[in-house]
Amino acid sequence: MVTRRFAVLVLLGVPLPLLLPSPWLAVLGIVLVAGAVAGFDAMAAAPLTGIALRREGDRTIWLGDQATVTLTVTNRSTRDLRLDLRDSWVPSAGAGPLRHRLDLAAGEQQTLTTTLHPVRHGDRPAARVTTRSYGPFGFAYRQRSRSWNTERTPAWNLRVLPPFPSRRILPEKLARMRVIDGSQVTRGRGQGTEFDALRSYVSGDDVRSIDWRSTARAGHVVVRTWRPERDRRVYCVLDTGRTSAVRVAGVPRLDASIDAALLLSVLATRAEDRVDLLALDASVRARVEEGGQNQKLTRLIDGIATLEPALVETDYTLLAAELLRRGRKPSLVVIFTALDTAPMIAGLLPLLPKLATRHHVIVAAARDPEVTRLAELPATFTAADVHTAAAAQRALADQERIAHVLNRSGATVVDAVPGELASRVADLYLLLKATGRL
Amino acid sequence: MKKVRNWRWLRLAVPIAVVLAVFVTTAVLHAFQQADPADNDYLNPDSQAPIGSARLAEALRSEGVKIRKVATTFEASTTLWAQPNSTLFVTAPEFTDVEHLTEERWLPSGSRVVLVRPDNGFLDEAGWPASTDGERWTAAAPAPGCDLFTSPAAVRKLAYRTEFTSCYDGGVVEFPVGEITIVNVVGAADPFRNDRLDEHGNRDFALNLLGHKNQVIWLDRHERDRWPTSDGPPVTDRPAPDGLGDGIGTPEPEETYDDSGDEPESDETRSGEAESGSDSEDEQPTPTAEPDGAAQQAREQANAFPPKAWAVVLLVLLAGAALAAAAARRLGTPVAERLPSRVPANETMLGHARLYQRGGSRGPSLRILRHTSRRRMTEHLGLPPDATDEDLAEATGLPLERFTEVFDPESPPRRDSHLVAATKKLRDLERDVLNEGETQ
Repeated sequence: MVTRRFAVLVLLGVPLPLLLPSPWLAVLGIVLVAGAVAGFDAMAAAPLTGIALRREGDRTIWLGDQATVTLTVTNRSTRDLRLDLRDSWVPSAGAGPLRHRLDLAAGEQQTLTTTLHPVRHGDRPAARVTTRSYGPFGFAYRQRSRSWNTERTPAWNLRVLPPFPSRRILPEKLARMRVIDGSQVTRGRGQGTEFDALRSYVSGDDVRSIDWRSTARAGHVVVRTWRPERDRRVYCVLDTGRTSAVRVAGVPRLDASIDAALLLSVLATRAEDRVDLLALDASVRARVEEGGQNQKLTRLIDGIATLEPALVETDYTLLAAELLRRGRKPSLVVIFTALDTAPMIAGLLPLLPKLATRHHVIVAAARDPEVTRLAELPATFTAADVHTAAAAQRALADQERIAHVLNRSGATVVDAVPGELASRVADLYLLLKATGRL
Repeated sequence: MKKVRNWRWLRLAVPIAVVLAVFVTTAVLHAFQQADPADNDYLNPDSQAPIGSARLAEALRSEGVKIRKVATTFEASTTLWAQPNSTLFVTAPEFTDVEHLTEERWLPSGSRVVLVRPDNGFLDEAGWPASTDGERWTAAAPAPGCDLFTSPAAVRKLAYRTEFTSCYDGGVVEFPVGEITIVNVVGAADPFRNDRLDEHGNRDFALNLLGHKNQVIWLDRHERDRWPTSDGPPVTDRPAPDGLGDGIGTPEPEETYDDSGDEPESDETRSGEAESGSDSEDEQPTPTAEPDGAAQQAREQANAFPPKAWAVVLLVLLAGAALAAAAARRLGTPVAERLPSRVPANETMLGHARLYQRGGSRGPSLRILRHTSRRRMTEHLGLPPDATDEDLAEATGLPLERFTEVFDPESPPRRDSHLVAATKKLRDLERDVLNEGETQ
């Protein structure tokens, strides 16, 4: 393929037909000369097959952080390589710079650095490295088809972990959990419901916890100590359907759900409970269960990272089927969704009484702070503001009504703005843990 | 959400607009440059203007040809009839009275008629054996291609087709009318104009064409002409205008023939040759002219510019194509990706709000506000949700009228201002109730 220089070469020949006696022969001559030069140039360009590409760098980052991925280009051919290279990533990877100009002698190699600022969580793959090898004069170049370039591109995937703004409140929640757990020495053993150990009575112990049988056997007063239950089951259910796709305070509602689910998972893992995760809309999108507790959190974050809301209606019968499959052991089922009337009435509500008989169900939903704001009239207002306030109050009333209905069907509803949802869910979990209702 | 304006359509529109602009500009300039027969200077034998013909008239006079300028068709026809040994030069055939000008009885034998750029309508109406055969953008000056003329002249703008003599590739045709009147049709006005007289062989051509006879009757007409219907002689079937026709009319043609000596004879022999030769030669032009008509036209268009110009144009086009090819090949195609939904969660709510407003649902909107407000009040006062106005008034100590006015109005608000006023009252009441509760 020719370059702009080739066009300039043809343009330079424009005066010749005017100066030479035979204009058509002059045209033919110019075309032949320019074509021959371009043909030679293309022939002399270094072969594309002699280029070797290798990639290294970050594979996982948190959203908001910066990743660096390097691409090493090696010229394995025997000719000097004048290369234009485009390292394409998906647009949301925020990669740059995309274009590079390289001059590589035979056998030489050079490393190109791509900096990535992803704008969304999930997998951000490198799409394609396109190479273009120029001839020594720059009149022509070699470039292969898109599929050829795609085939030779070294695969790379940057996994961007979802935003976890609630990380900052994690220490506080963990501290509260340790209080419940009784592991803080200052507070002594906790008031759990699960039997922990027997020890000698010391002054100040609750007389109700004296184990009389052991006292008789041991010959001195022995008390039972209790600790909070462990190894309970927490089942996080993320609704990735259409109600999670809409934007609440500028970000998809799913992001708020993910944040809350992550905080709950970290807390529950630390409390030595068993955390499983299910993401579903019209089908099951992600399922993280089984496996050791140590890698569980990593796997969980990994599973959540690739979740994207789909514009479909969520099928809650899938949730019922999953719970049935897991056996009869009761769990804390936390459903992260939205309190929209139609999906709740038609989807979750019919199943809820059955679920609630065996499991403790929490329905957590991120509410739109904008609706709450619009429901209040400003100091001076017009008729349009009144209509808006009426619509907003109606929307809030609908949400309250659905929350009430869900409550009556046995679920605990947490309805909070995105910034508070994670904290509220965590508080509820800690409360249940402290009161031994898990 | 702010809508980003899309300018991509300009990519398609701008090139088309540029090409259209070039076409329109060229057409306008071309039309502007054309000599207008309605202009008084147009081929006027007394005009020194570029489009006038004073220089040609002078040249003819110096050759001993008498010029008689006439202004109407009637005058021209009668003059020709009176003096048959003349050339009638019609500079603007479209303005003449075709029916009478071309009537055979007004064209005495031995006379000669030269027409400048008559159109097809004129030729059809005249019933003359010629028709137009395409028009060129500018006048070409081909070689004569016949024996009548010797030098190339810029005559071929409108081309003609005839079964008689055709010169300059149809730029000039010659055919007899009646028995012996010779009509010359010239496809361009250029050879007669002051500014073009010296180009090519225009002068020779014009002098040759108009110098056959001793006199040129120059019909210099610049507006539409009508034959004077009130005149007796012209409309009678006996063409005897001015009373001269009877005496001179019949013998003159014979005399003219003799008088003009070689010229008319040679004319006749030539036309005779053309006629006789048409058996053998006619077949040559006709079959070639018919299928090759388009090709010939294209060739003629190509001849409008010298080959060097075409060669330069071709090279520029090639360079442009190479530039386009170089710019078109992308270094890697864009990568597609699914975008997340951008719908805000309160979209439905805002839609409802607009719907209430559009539908003028002031009553229902106010009812919702009242309901919410009332619930807040009862919750605040610790009353059951179905507490009456009296209960509220009693609990707050506020006058009952305020509650009944706000919660049980006589009619729903009919105007926006009523709605705003009612909402303000409701808000004031709610504030008072909540404050009352706080102070208690």
